[in-house]
Amino acid sequence: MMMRRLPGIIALLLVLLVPGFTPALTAQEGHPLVGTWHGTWGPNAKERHDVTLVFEFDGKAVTGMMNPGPDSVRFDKVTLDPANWGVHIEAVPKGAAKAAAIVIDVTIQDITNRYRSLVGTWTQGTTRGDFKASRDS
Amino acid sequence: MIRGAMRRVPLAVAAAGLSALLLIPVAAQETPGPGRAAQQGGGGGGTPGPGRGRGAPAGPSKPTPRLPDGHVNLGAPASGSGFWGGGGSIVGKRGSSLPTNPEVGEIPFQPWAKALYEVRQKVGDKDDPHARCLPPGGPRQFQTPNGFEFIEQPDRKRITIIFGGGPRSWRFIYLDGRPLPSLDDLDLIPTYFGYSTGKWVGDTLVVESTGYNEKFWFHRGGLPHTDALRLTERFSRPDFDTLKYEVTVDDAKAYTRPWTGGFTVPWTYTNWDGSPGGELHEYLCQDNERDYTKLR
Repeated sequence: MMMRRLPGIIALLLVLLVPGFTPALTAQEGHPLVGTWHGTWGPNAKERHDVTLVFEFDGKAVTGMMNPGPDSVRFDKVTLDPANWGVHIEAVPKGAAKAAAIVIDVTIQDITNRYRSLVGTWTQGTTRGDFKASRDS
Repeated sequence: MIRGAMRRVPLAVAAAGLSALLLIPVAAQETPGPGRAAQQGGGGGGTPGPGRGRGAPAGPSKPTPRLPDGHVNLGAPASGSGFWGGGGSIVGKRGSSLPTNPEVGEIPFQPWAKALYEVRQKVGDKDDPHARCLPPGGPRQFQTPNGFEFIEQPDRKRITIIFGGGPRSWRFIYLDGRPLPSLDDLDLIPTYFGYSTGKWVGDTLVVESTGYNEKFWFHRGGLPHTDALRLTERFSRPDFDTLKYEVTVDDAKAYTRPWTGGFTVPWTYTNWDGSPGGELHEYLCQDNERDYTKLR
């Protein structure tokens, strides 16, 4: 029984492991925000919220969303200041009654590195916390 | 039947995954090479800049070689050998760069692209994908050490360019009149060398390319590009020893308007160690990288 399941188990393990071993094969060297970023935000070290950000660039404006899926929230505004690699993001969760607006202010760290990250603050209503995300490479 | 196929799926996935693991470079790569110093504008060894290439005989260059149908031969003559030895820069006018090239300040960068290029210039090759042996598309393929060679295949209506350095890759240029793929085509898989079609216009091979991925630097030093990149390359051979390369860069996501630069590349008569032969030697980036820990 176990032997019959072995190929499936190996396949699952490899599917899970291989992406983690192939960063150099999927680096993104174009617009530094474009792509998918994973991270967390929260008011302290214990209370953290997982976040996925996705950015696109059409040559004029950066657009995108957070947490793709049924609860996704599209960005209302994204600005990038190349002078200091500061990024300002505004979004209002749709569907949730009286949902507080989200404001994210970060800077892109290690800009030339495929493992670059976003580090800064996340403000939602009266709650303010730190935020850090790394680009999926 | 379907159930049987489904049973084989995990095995196929396992095999594919295992293959992927085995193909992953153990260490990242830098690509030193005999021509590197000269290509970077440095002195000593390597391929000379404008003018005659390594091992060129004394006297003026021979005339442009031609194939029986009359068009220019960008490769070695039927009874000879040799290859192109690596070129200069499409930015600035030093060395083998064309005198018509823009200076850095004249390149119509978008603000983000200008800022990113300036940072890359400051930090050097630390994060250059080619330093980890990833293929160099665009003009960068002609700037890498160890040279390159054109192989025309009339029966297949295409030209193959093979590269002696880096990850030892090749590129096809189709001459059969096929159209370029649309960037909106969902089936288009962006690649390092893009998708190239060409035609002869007089004595110049004009090549249009698109479909590039964003995983490489298309020029040494890190000129940024995006998936909107479209290149128009013009290859000509004004005499036997000189390849003239000119490229128009059109990428509306990174530059505010198209711009053009180029360089010349000398014909190399010898092997890279200076011995007679004029053959691309076996150089594998993956075998020779020594700087992985420093690059990271």
